[in-house]
Amino acid sequence: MAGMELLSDQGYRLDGRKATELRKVQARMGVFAQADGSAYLEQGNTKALAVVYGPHEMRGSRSRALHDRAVINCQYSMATFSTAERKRRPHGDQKSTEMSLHLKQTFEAAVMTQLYPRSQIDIYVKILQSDGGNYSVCVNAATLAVIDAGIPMRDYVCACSVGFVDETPLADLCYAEESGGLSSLALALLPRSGQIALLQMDARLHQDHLEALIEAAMTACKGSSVPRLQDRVTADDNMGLLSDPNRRRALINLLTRLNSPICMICYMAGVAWFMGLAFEPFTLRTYMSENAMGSTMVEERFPAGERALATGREFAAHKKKTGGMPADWLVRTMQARGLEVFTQSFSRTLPFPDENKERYMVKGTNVYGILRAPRAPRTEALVLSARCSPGDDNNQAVGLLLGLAQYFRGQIYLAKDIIFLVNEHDLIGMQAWLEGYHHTNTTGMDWSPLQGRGGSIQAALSLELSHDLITSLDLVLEGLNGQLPNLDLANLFYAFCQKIGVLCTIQGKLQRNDWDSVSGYSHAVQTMMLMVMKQASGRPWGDHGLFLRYHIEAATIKGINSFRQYKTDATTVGRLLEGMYRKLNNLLERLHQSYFFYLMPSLSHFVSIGYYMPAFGLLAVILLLRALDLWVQLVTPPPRTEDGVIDIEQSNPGVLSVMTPLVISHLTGVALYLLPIRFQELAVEHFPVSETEAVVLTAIAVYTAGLALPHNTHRLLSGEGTEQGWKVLKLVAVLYLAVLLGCTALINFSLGFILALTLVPVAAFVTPHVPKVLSAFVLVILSPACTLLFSVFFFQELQEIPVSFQEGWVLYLSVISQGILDHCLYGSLVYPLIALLVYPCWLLFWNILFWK
Amino acid sequence: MLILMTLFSSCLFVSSSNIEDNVGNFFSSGHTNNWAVLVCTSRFWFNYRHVANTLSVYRSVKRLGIPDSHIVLMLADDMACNHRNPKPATVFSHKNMELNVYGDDVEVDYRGYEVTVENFLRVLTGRLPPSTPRSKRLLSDDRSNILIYLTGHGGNGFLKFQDSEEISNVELADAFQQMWQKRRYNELLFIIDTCQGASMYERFYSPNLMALASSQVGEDSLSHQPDLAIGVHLMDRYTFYLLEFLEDIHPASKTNMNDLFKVCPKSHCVSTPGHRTDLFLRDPGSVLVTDFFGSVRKVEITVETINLTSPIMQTEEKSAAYGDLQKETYSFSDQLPVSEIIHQKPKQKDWHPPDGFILGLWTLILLVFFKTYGMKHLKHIF
Repeated sequence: MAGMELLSDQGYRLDGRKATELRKVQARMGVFAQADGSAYLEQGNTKALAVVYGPHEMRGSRSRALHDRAVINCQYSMATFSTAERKRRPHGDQKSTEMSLHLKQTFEAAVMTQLYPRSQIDIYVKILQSDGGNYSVCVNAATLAVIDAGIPMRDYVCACSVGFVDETPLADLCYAEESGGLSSLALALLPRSGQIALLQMDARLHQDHLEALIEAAMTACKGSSVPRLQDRVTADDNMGLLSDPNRRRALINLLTRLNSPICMICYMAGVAWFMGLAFEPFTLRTYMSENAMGSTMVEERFPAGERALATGREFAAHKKKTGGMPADWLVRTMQARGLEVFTQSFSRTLPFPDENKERYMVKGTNVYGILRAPRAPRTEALVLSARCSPGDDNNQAVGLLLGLAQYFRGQIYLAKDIIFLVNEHDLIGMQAWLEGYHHTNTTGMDWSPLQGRGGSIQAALSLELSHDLITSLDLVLEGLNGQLPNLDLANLFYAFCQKIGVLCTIQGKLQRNDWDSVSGYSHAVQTMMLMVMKQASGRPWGDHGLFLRYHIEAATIKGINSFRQYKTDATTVGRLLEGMYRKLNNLLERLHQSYFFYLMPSLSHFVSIGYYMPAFGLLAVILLLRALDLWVQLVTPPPRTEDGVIDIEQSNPGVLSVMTPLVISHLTGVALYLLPIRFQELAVEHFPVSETEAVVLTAIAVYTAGLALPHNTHRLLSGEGTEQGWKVLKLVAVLYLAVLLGCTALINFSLGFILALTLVPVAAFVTPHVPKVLSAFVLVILSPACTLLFSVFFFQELQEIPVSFQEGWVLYLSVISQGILDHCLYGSLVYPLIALLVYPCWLLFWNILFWK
Repeated sequence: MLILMTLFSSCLFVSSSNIEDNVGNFFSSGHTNNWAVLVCTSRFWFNYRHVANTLSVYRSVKRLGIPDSHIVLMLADDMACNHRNPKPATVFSHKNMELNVYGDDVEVDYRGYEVTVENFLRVLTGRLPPSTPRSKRLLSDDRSNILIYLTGHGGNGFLKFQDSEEISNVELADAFQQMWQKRRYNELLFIIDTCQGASMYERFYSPNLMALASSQVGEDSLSHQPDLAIGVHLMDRYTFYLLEFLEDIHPASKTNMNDLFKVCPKSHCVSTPGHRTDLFLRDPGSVLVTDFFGSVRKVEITVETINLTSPIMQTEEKSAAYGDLQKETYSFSDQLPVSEIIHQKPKQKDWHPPDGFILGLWTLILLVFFKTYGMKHLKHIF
């Protein structure tokens, strides 16, 4: 060792450390699951593993137990591979026994043993690699393990070895230094109290130096003390890409710098993705998922189409005679066909007259007959419904329903009851019947309770048929709040249409095979867009729409007669229904195998939720990116700091300046929700309008008034807005919008997507600094009300019934009134969503534009 | 030796060697009784065909002479009385109501929820609680030939029981080994009609097993006989043709196993039926179908008395006829190279180009790329 210089003239040690510098410390806690506590510690190249068991009952001889405190049992060992020389190390050699004893003494001083009388705490420490300072590393590792075990201690113990060379104390000795013949000292310290738990020195040292050496050791101990170690442990555990501060900063810089381009790209990608959904290679073919329904392999033998039509004509005659629902005749006819027949009467006063359907005080009767399953328990049921509507409408459907009832009566394979329902006043009657059937009353309607019930309803079909011969059958799926029945119901319908050879459509569109041509693609887009518009409207598009609320899969089948050559008679439609009901009869559980969330670009293809959600996701990402940008702007202080006072004021915009616009916007929303119906009488008194017009015009008036209100009141209350203030407000508004749209899209994708399409650009670009007039114009154009107006025109365009602006405006007004009525009558949520949440959110952005 | 022998020589002038041959034929199979375990593992109306499969095998074995007391029939669902059955109290195997396999004397031993993996394995291995009635037990011995027929929905290496549990091919193989060790069978014929059926017998390692399956690994077994009036498929293809085959068998027919292997060729079945005979010690060509499907007692009427009491003849005959029986006295591991059977080579994978070829192709592509763009442009790329 003569040649080796433990401390160079420049003050560096063998491994390049300064005299007081410690080696690199790395630690991890909880490395074993079985032990009560465990820790792994590296100090330079010395590595130790500590495990703690206990406190537990005394193992071995109970006589060693102490009546007033716990016994600490330490065992120190070294791995055979821990030193340069591979050596078997038997237990209980003198060195390790001594080390165990030292550890024991140390921890008896630190652990609050008096809390665990008559028990034992085991501490096992193993040196995996030895490079000097074994004792101190063992103490540190054991301390971590004891902490991990949750055993209370007076203080952390930390230990360090110190050597003395050339009048200089060297901290944390490595093996080379330890074996270099200097006098060394190991010290275990309770750092907060400064008490020494153990001091060990095996070499000679002049008394004068002892003080300095102990001092150095204590400093070193505090340097390697456990609180610091623990910080490292937690930092180690959480280390990931984002927690690396440098990378995170770089990522954030990139995102803020490229914010606008990324947002633009996301928006375009979102729209492109959505348009791509209708492209046939990107869609999936529909297929039957439900095992129990399997194939279309049944025999359809319904023979009595002509008779059904005759019954329909008879029904029409009786309907004309009674001037409404011919309940008595229906009861008699159904009874003659062997059904258990019941009637239900209901009445309902609408909040304001429905001008489309010309009804205000509604009174009616539902007639239904139950065909009991001949051999099965009456636990499940299927429903076939046809509405009784005024005029020549839907007579054939009722006739066919009665014909099918007669036919099914003769079949013995039914395992479920079939309920044949004729409902008056379409959805209102259906609502009354469903509420009666399920013993609920959500809309405060008056109805007489049902006298007879079948089992729980598994599936339902509504029939709309107004011609003796039809060209095609149209499938209507969209129900209340954009709910859709399980896709298997559509698959079933499509499969039977294919089998029997009936033309079938969805959204009134036939499917085409030329997906690769432009016209074929635009046809698919048209079909899908119609579905999106209908779903977004949130209203039930057929009598089936209310079933979905009760988790009953239902669809409406609508007969369409156009001037095409291809005609289908009632017998064929009857056979189709027979086949479908026979397959539904085979169901063992509710329909659940296939998708509940989908879009259909044609009847044979569908887009599942997994494929269409990214389109919305791409739009929603823009909001998050803008929020991130704003957050970064808010957090980083502005570069010019001449005046500290202004700075502080800016960084703390008052709660008032954010809360005021929030509260006022929402109050405006509440007004928009409540006032139109409350004030209709007042409005009718003062203006020459009908009740319906009064409601709609009040709604529009409140909406428009809302544009002026928030920022003016805000100015009145909290004065001129600060720069920081609008940023906070916008951050809140953007996140609010993101949550709002996200939730909406999950429930009703179409509505969420359409709102995102218009509101996301607003949210992205609005600041108080953009040109006022132009921006205000854009903002109004993209507001929810204008979106609705455009949607009305677009919907007409898609249906190939374009309207003039005048007609469109009238339609727009009636759509608003319908929306409000749907909410009051059936509990559609679109109107309250727009009025109470979306509109206030949009007002926040409006407010930001007029911040100054 | 329970065989009741009444042998008479047919002719006065028959040479002794001829008689020996005849007697050898007479004792060709070593069994004295026949058992059948027939299992349908799936329930629900749309699995009608599995019940029909099982019942058609039941019908055949019963017709060929195995009594109900020797048949353990497990049916997971009651199709005949299902509410959806338009023809109550029938189960048809052929379209247009040609053949009703339900009959009027079906004795179902395990039904509905009793059909579980546990019960099936307990029946096979005989580990049943003492209260179990005889009709629910497989009371076979080391002279029994057992037919085991399974049908249901399966996959690679398993067969589903009632949508709630499944039996794996390893479990099944171990059960058979346990049966062998407990001397519960002399020879065993295993037939399974399910998707990827061959996977179910590939783990077998017990001796004297012959196995047939309706399809190979990776293949689906398909249904047959769609009936529009009943509204479901009536049978699976393999069992349908098996039934057609069995309908032509009568107790005295000499049809052997090789004919059974030819049932339902790929042109009929769409799937490829498989069979396994390496564990079976006799030549399948010499094994009669009725050895398993029937309970046939051989009776030949002769005029003359043959003296079989001569010890020399008996031993000769025995050694000729019971060759496999003598082997049975050896320990199990000697009989068959079990380890070889267990460590069979896995099925060859589909051919794909060797890795070197792909590597070379990439190198070529890269070379062409650099050749075209030149090395000096590299810095623009990276």
